[in-house]
Amino acid sequence: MRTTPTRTSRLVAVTAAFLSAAILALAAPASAKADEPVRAVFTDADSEPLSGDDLAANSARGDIQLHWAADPPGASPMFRLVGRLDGELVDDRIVYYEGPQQRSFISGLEDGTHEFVVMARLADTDPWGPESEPIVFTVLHHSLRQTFILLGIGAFLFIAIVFVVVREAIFAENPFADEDEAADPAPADRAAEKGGEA
Amino acid sequence: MISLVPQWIFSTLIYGAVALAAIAAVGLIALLLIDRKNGELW
Amino acid sequence: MNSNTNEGLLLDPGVGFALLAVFGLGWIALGIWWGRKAKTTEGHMLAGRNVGLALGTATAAATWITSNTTMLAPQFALQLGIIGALAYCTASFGLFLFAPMAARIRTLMPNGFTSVEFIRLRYGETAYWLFLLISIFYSMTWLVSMAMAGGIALEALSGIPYLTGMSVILAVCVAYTVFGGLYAVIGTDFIQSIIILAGLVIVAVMILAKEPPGSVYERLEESRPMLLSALFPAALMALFNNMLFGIGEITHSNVWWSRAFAMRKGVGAKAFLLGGLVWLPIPLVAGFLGLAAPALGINILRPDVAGPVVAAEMLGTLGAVLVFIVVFCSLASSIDSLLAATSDLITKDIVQNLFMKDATDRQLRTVVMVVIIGLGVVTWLLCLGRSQTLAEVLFFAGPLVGSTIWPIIAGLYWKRANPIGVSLAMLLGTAIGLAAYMTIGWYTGALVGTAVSFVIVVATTAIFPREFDWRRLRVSTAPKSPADRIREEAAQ
Repeated sequence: MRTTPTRTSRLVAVTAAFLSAAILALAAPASAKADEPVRAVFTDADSEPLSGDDLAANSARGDIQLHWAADPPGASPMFRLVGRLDGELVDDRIVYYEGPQQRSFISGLEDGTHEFVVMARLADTDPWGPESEPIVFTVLHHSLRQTFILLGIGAFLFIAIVFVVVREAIFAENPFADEDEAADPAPADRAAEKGGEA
Repeated sequence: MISLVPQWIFSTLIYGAVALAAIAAVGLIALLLIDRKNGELW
Repeated sequence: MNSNTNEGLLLDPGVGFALLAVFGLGWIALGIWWGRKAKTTEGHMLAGRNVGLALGTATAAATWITSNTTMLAPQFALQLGIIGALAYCTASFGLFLFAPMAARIRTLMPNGFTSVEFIRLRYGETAYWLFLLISIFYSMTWLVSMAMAGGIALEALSGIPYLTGMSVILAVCVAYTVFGGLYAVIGTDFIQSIIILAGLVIVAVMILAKEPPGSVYERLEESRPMLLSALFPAALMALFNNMLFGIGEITHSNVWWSRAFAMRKGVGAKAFLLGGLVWLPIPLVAGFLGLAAPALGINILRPDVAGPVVAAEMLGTLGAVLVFIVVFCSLASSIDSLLAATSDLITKDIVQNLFMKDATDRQLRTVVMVVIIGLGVVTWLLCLGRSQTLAEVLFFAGPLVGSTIWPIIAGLYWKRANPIGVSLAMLLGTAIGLAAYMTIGWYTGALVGTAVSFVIVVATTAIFPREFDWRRLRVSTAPKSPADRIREEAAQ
């Protein structure tokens, strides 16, 4: 049976493509390490990358727990976490963390939309790799009106307790005064004690 | 705009708390030495 | 500065085990030594009713310093800022307010044993059952959450497995409480409070030497401004809820009543006032560790170990050892007190009141010891699961204990408080408070519970006053005659 030239060339092409793909696949991690900058992505607590809606969060207390990882996983680069409040210049971003760890707890953020991105690099001399997809974190603290209503109720209850206890501590009579006096003949001690308990 | 606690109040609170805790530790020991009427424990 | 921190441990497990062994055996030895002084059940339960000012102050402060005060306060400061730390400090008002009550308690019932006993004599059976349930629920959840927190903390600090750490802490506390009773609890409280105060002060001073508050302030202002806000809504909401929770815990719990009974006449009020002052700065000092993290460039991996991480980063192994000891002491000083006070309550108000009315001193003493060990075993079993939900149940206690504040105050001071009104106040305060907790938010539970109970107690006392004869408090708790005592002691 005769192999047509077309067929032969196709076979060669397929083999070549297969071989080169295999070589590329084998060499890929090494070449990525050497040439391509390492990326960082935000993840959930179980190191699964976050995407879409999961990259949005909000809080009434202004705190958030962030996790991230290298992409592709396996490399152990240094990370840099930066954030800014919507409306601030990108150059003015605050560096929240730089180092090898893969999570951080950020708190004390003010009202508004905050944007966090994370980036990575393998060596201190490398430039930082590309920025991850941002986490968009919306902070809206409880309203001051609601806060002051609760503060008001609390203050009233507290003052009522203090008022009654202090008043009674000063004015309440000992229903057993006669007995106690008979049982305790040292008047000096008793006077000192009354002072202390008032 | 956030109304911040003034810096001097912040510093005073921190230094004050640490000082009070130190006084408390020394004071408790002093109290034990001065007030001998502590039951049968010491 | 922090580039080489792993997510790993602050302390080598071997060092952790060594510290655990040294301190654990130390407490047990002291328990046995002090236990020899407890000749009667009253001695064992109430340290001979002869505790003086120094030990009284220390025990009030140390018992109120839980693992929360040292572990949770930095987290609180980190999440709710300087106002949050101050809100935490307001828990000391519970001790301040209990000071005059402690004096009153001792005047009304010089021979009393427990808070539940007071409620039974003052308000009768219905209130007794309600109050007993609230007390037992609160004590057990506190005990379980504390033992669990202990296991978790030791694991986080030094890699000692949860089960081992939790079991050792519990076993040590049960052992010295069984041997030494309240003598051991109060004696160790003194040493523990000195260690906690000294440890925290050393860590704080070393951090302040490297980083003054001013630069901490500036760094926070830049990156976490709300932590310095004077109007942080979540922190302000927590303020009075926290305070009322604390007041409710102290007012109702037998942990504090047993101390009021145990202190020498005239000591109670001063000891609780001073104890409050000793406690007051601790959440702020511990909270500063949390606030200092950003300024020191320390990454907070998770908020619940912020304090220990900062101490270890700044002070190396010494810092980690100090924190380990402080945490261990704050756990032990609260677990032992809960074991002692809850076993008193079960022995006196359940076993003796319901089943063994004519028990001799010797029999009661055996019951107390069996109950302490039993409590330890039950707590251990509940902690096996390491269920976070179980620890969170403690927060349900807010409405429960909040609803007991006014029944206790009215019972101690008002001759005409209405017993039915008081029972209703505890029942509805708890129910509506829990509903508010679930529907509005955690920061309303204790607040609403206290408010509802306040309205009911005041209204029923004003509209349906019921005269009470104070004498009943003393007659029912009158001590046995001297002849009885001599006979009992001779029998031992």
